[in-house]
Amino acid sequence: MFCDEYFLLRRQNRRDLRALADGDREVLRGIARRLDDATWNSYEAQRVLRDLIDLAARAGQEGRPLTEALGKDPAGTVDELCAAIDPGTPLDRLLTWWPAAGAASGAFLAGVAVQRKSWPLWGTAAVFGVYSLWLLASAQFRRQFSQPPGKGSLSPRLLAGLGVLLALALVVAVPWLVRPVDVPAPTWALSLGFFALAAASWAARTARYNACARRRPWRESAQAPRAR
Amino acid sequence: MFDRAQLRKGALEGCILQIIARAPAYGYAIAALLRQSGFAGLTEGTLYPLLLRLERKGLIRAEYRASPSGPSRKYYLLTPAGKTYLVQFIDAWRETSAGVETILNGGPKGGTPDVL
Repeated sequence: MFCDEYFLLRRQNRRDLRALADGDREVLRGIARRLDDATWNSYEAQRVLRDLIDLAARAGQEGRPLTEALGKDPAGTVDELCAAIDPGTPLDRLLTWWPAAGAASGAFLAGVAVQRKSWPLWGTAAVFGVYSLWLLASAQFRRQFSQPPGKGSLSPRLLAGLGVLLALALVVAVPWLVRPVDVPAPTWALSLGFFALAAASWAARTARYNACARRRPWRESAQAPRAR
Repeated sequence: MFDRAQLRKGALEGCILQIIARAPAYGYAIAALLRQSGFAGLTEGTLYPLLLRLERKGLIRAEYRASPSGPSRKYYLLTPAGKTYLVQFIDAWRETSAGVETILNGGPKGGTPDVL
């Protein structure tokens, strides 16, 4: 049967997080943020989180907090986790968020279509492009400052951060500085186009993360069948 | 001060591969076996980043198997690349440890070489 393994994994993690002790839940939320900054691949981040939830549950059964199960230096262990996780590719991040962004844009334009028969094509595409670049640039910016202290001196990190800020400023300024002639397009067609983009990116994300799940499963039924 | 952790990390990777080569094992069991073998203070939590790194390198892979005493467990298995890596690790370790032992025990027989 066709399953969206990423969606199922994320939903399971949310449920299991709620069942943990308050302290462990907070620790895991902090670790999840760190993992999200360490990899572009959301499936990998959720899969590692799944293992840590299991670890916290087992430690809880023995009456120990998660921080104790993470060893004498929990922060160091998390740093090692971030260094060890598969970094994925920027396309993974876009595929993670495009389905929701495409559907939201499609829904917005469907609402607009009631009032207006046409809508600027170039401007709409530019806004979506800026949003995509924002996704990548903001993630890149965050990870500049989430590195464990001591790894890399301050000045290269600062320069990289300033570079990303400059890129962001350009991304925001370009659509206003260079104003090409807006081509009006039928609003319903644009709306359907964004829904199609949402569906296509959801299918691509599902195929990509399901392949990840077969290679690195998070549950018994997610793995590839054993060789006989 | 001598950094024991750095020395331990490289050796641990080889030890984990050797444990998994004997039979597929889950994290808790691997950590317990390593502790029994002298890696004191090692927990499942500190072991996990190492397992993740080995998995990313393609030396091991994970598989979920039903457990008689509860939910299914995540077992680690050696991949063909892991088997090759383990053979290379064992050769390199034996060669290095023999060299270090020789030096620590007073150097090679025949005294100090002339170049010194």
